[in-house]
Amino acid sequence: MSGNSPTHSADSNNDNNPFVRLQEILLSDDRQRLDDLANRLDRPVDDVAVGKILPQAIRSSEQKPLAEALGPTVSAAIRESVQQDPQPLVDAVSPIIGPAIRRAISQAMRSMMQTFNRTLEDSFSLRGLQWRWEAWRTGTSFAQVVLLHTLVYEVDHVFLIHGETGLLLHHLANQTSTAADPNLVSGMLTAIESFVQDSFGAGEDLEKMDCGDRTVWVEKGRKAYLAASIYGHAPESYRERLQESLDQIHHRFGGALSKFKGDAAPFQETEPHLANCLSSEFAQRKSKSKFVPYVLTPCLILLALAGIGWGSVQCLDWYRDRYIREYFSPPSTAQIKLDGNTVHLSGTAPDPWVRKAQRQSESLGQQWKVDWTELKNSDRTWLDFLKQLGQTPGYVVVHSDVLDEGQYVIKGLRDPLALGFAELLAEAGIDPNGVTADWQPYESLDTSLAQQRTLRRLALPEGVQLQYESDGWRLTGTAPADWIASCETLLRAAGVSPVDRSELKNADANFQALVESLRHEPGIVLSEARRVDGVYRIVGLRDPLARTVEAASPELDLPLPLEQHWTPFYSTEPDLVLKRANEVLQPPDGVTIAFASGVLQVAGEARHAWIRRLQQLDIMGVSRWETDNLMDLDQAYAQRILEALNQEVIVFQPDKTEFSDATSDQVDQIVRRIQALERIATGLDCIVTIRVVGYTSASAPFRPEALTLAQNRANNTAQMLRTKLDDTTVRITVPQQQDEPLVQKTPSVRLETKLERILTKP
Amino acid sequence: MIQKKICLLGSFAVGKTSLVGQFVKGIFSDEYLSTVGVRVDKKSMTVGDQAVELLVWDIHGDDLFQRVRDNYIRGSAGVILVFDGTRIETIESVMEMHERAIAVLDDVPFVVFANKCDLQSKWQVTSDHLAMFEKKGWHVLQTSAKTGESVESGFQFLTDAMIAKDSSTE
Repeated sequence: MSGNSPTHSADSNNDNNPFVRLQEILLSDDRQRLDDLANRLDRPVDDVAVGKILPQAIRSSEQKPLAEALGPTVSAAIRESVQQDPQPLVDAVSPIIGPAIRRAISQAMRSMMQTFNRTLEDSFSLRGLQWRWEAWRTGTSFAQVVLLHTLVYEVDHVFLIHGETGLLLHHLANQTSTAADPNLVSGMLTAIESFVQDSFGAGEDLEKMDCGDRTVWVEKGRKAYLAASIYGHAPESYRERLQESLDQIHHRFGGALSKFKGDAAPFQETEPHLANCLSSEFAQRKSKSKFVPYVLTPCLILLALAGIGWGSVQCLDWYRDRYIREYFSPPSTAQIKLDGNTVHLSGTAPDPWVRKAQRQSESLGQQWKVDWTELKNSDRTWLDFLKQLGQTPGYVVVHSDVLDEGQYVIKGLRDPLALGFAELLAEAGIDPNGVTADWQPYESLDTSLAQQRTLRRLALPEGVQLQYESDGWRLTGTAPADWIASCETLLRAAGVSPVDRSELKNADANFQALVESLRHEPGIVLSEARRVDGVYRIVGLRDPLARTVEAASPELDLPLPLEQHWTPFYSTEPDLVLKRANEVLQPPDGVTIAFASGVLQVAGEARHAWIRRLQQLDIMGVSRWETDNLMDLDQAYAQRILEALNQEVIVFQPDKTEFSDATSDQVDQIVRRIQALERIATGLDCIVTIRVVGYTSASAPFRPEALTLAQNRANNTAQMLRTKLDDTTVRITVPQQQDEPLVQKTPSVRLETKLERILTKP
Repeated sequence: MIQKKICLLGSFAVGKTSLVGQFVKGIFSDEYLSTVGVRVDKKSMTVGDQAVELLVWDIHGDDLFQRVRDNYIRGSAGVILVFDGTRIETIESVMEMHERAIAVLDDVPFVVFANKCDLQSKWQVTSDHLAMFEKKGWHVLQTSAKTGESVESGFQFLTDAMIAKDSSTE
């Protein structure tokens, strides 16, 4: 207070002033505070104090305005700091960025090594060589071919499609894929989806479509759906990814989907969601044999190359064959045969495989030709069969499907009267073991089946036909009188009305007419004729040669059912006796047979054997035979030969006993005639006897030796004949000359030939 | 660009597929029509400065084997009804198709193509028939898939109507 001396003098002046004293008592504290504030304001900013309150001030402030306010300052400060000395910042962030970079590089290296390993492994394996071949042939890089074959699945297209209109909202494809117009594809997908819903019920959504190696997965949402085109086989977990993406799209773009009128621009922002659905996965190798691919295979290849020429060709053919087989991988029902550069496909295969094979064949290279002519598309056959079945009366196909394992499933309705399903399958060339059928019975309204059904219900009598023609029902045939009387009622009850009965005949009347006709029929004797239990019955005797009932009454419609009980007998009716004789004798041409009054007259010409059999026969109804006018052709012929032989004169030269040259032809002819006679004689149960007689000339004076000459000529002739004829059927004798020679004009030999019956033969 | 789904309706053999084949861009074969019952094609149009892409659903006409499926019609922004001017009976099926389209789509713009107008010698449609359509307020064009007559203008009319309808409801 010593420092306040100047004031003190004033204070001392005011000490006695009561107002001043009161003022001091009341306001001294406030005055002190005001003095302190005045002092503080007069001093510069207190840094320490600001430092104390700033953190609290920042924490208490609103974040966004503060961040906006501080942003430029902080950026400038960092920039300034890096410019001056980057190290502190590097030191600060390196603990954060370092691990992230290391992780990214490691991932990239692993991926690269995996690809490198795969390529390396496949380069020297058999499969790798095949892929190299494929790469060379298709003009693509080896890496691409490896990728194609090692891929488990790859989603190459994702479509976001508006559910109601089928319009495309957005579409995303991976870089290597090309596809048809996505707008059209989305429209058609929607159409197919609607088709499936309509065909198989509203609750059935199309979830998956298989097209060869490619599958289209469909994930439906309330207002839009996703369709993903997948190459290979995606895991089921991929569907969860589709669902998740679709849910997010509905959540975020629900309003835009509801208001959608064709403008797809707002849905460009769905791209991250669609990108999430574009993914792929590679196959993992199960086993790795390092030795075989790297060492053994090249050795084998070298050996093959060093092998002999034909071996190389064989090896190449084998390799080509195997390559083609693996390339197409046919199902067990299809066969592949390689002929040069032509691939022959045969057997049957399902449509997806055929389409896939057709696509593959296009990329097989121009030097290859594929012959499809003998390959049958089993699915197409099935579809053709379904079409055919749709037009077959009595079948209604409700559902048909093709299962993954190639089994066909068919369900529907079948009229029990329709053609057999197994027969239809066989007709179409479809293996019944490959078809599972479930038919429920129903009654078809098809005219032919309805007619069959009606006929069954009516139980028409045998012989009655009911037909439906353009102008209505018509009854034809014959029926018993009582059925005719009651049929009107029966037919009406069966729903068959009106019926034209004008061509329906009365079977009872027909039966009476038949009986009357049979009573006058030769060879038939009726003992009973009546209708028993709805069956017309005829009993009696019937000559087997008599006309049948049908032939005897051709003008009648026979009543049905007709029972005939005949006992055979031989009728003496002349016509039947003659018929019987003809049947028994079977007369040859040139023979006529007539029958009258119990006498059978046989006339004409016949061989001896037939005539001899005739004499041994006994024909029922024939009491006597008359064969005076029947000539035996064999006997007549033998007689002519005998006459000719007995006129022959074999002339000899005077004083000669040998045949002259002039008679050689004559002698040959004589031998041939005797041989012919010999054959006939056997059939006639005869033998031929020949007496050979020598003659001397009447013109020459008699000499005693002439007798000897004639005898020798006869002996020589007989000897010659014996050498040429069978002595069992031809007996040749030479009579001994008497004292007086036999004389003719010329010295000669004559034959006296005749037939003698052999009595010992039957 | 705006996309619009339209459908092409009419009974069997009135010339729908010929209209599509000649004036519309497609990538799918006719087999789809006989199997799935529909084929989707595309046609680009403009209304003012606005590009409009029509996705044309060519729907297989009613016949003994197939009925037009309502699901195919659903979601259409416009309808082209086609009948064969040389077969008077096809008008009746157009009426039926119109009723069915209304039932599924409510009130959408539509246009009627009286097709095959190049076959004048066999033409059976009379002025009375056209008057009947006018009385109903229907826009009818005599078209020919063969010569192309009125086909483009028909598509344009429908496109304009669809865009105008969008504008009026916004």
